Amino acid sequence: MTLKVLLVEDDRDLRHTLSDALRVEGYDVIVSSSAADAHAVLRHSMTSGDPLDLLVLDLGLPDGDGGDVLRSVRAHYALPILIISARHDDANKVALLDAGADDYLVKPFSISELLARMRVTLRHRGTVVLAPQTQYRCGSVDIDLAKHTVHRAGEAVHLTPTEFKLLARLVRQAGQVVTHRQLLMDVWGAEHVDQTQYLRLYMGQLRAKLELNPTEPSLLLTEPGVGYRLAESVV
Amino acid sequence: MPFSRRFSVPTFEARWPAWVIWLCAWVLLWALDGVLSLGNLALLLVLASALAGVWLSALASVGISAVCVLMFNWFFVEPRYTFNVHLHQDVLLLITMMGVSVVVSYLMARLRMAAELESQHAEASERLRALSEQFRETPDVLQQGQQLQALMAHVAACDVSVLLLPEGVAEDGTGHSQLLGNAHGQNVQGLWACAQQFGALGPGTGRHENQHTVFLPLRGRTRAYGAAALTGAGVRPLTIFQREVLQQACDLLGLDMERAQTLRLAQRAQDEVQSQSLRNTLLTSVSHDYRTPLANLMGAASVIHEQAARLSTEKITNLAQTVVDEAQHLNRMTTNTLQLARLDTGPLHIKKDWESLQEILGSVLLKARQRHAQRRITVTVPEGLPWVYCDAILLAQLFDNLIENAIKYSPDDTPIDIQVVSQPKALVVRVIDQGPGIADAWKDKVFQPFERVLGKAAHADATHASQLRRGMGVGLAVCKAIAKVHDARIWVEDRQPHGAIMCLQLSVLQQPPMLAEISNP
Repeated sequence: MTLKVLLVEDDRDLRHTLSDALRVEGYDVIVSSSAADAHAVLRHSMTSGDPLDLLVLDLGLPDGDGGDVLRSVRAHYALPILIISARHDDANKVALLDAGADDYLVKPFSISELLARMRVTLRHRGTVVLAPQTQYRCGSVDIDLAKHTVHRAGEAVHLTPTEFKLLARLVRQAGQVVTHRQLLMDVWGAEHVDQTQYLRLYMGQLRAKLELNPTEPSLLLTEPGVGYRLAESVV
Repeated sequence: MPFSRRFSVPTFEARWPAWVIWLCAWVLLWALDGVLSLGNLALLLVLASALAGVWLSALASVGISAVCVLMFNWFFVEPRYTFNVHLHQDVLLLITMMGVSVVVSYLMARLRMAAELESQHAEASERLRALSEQFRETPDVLQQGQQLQALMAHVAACDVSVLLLPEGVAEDGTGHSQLLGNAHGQNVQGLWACAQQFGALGPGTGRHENQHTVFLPLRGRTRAYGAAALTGAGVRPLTIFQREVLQQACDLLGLDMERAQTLRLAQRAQDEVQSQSLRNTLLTSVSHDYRTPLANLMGAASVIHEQAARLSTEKITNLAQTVVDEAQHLNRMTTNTLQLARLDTGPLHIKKDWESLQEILGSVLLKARQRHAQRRITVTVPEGLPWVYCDAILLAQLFDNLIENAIKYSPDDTPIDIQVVSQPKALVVRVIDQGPGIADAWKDKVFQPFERVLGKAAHADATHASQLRRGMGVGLAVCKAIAKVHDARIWVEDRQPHGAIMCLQLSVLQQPPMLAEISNP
């Protein structure tokens, strides 16, 4: 079954380039150049027997802000959303991720970057529809959330409850960036969403236990000013 | 000079000392009657009159003296118990007594007035001092106007309106203005007229005497910054002294507003210069730095477009790689140029937090290694570094530029070393390459945006300069700007035997308190 993607992008050349490239990769691409058109396609498609699998959304649309489209889609459908935008504005990036975007790609980007992010985003459709990911493996690290175990190079690693909670939160969205706010909210609770130093401290401890070289982590990656990303699982 | 201060008691205002003196004088007169001659007795009376004059008003003093002279005449001058005077010298005596009393009283009255004036002056200057202090503490013009209004209403005991013209009065009577108080109609016109004419109007000022309102301008050095209206229907007219004090208060505000406006104009001029230089930087950056990568991009893309059919796949792949590389290069330059523009216009978008330097370096290194997979990059970071209070995105951009710069300006087969050194109260990051290094003359200039460097460079140096700068764009200038908003120091050192060391020194602040719950969640 081919995956169905709605690409909302107002620049004609970029729309053609991207849709061609995505078709070459085997996706079924529907294109749209405005917020109104995107809404119409979404309404029609999501109620049909063959709903969309992914929305790739540009922010600067001629008839409205892509952020509004994002919020309205999030309110109605459990559809993965990947934002592409020329705005190099990290506060905005964080706001969109917190508003429910699955990932964010700043223009200009290469097609391989887009495809990689799309793959990860599609894999996480499961976070809403199917059972969440509970197994994680990357490099020499194995994590089993159901059994509550973490192994590095075959040896059990002891984690404190908070460390495990933080790691589990990242595993559930492996490959995707999780904002500071989302992590603090889910691990420490709503009253601690501004205490980013908790995160830095615990992330440092996790890296010391799991990474070969904590200065240049290969698993627990930093997105400066935005949040953290656990490298993609190879399971 | 106030008498009362030196003698402390009794004060000028008291009346009783006069009565005591007269009483004593009369007791003495009765007691010494027949012992002393009439002339000597009369001297007692003169003395009493002079002394009592100190505590009495001129009129009262003269009046009492007159009564006393008549009584003296009645009781002591022959023939007694009549007002008749037999001897001529007695008449002279009485007249002298009267004269002395009057003179003493008059002198005392003048002294009293002078003292009164003195205290009024002291009070007025104290008020003005307090007002100027208030102005210093509240830079808001509206509040300053209200303070002036309150003071004037207090001094003049009437209704006060204040017209404020923060940009000074204009010839055509336009401009930003604010009116405090409830002046309307003619009074508003009066306020404007007063400000424009730069002089007081109304009763007592010599101009528009028939008005019921006194208008005082808020004078700066060359023009008025508003005016105040004293609307006193049925209230006693202002004294000259009061008007002078009020005018001084008005001028205080006028001068203050003038100073504020001068500062505003200076700031605006500086902003304009800055935005001008920023525009120049951007233009120069676009015209110099963007043409080369654009030319490369255009060349490679047009070859693919026009000759694809005749080219080998390998050749096309190489050309496409050039397109991608140059596009990335342009993207980096654009990001840097925009960042420089943002930082130059004012550090508004900076979001500082307690960050881990190790984390920031890690994220930068990951991307650098992806871009330059072949290049050897070694990193030395000691454990347990203190946290740094910074904007992570900006600092990441700074390190990214330093590393990219080191990679670009050193041979491909030489490694890049990155060292973090922990010093007391500071962290130093050193990015070390093994390229040709940077000549001493350029060690400061490399951090300046393009145009300023070229402007200062000698002609002979120009070729070297453009080679050195080629493709660098504003990368190091951004580093400098980012360092500046973090109060950090950035500089170049020489590596022995050759190569450059880019150093960044970040100060370490008092670390945030780590809450107990963190270690025991």
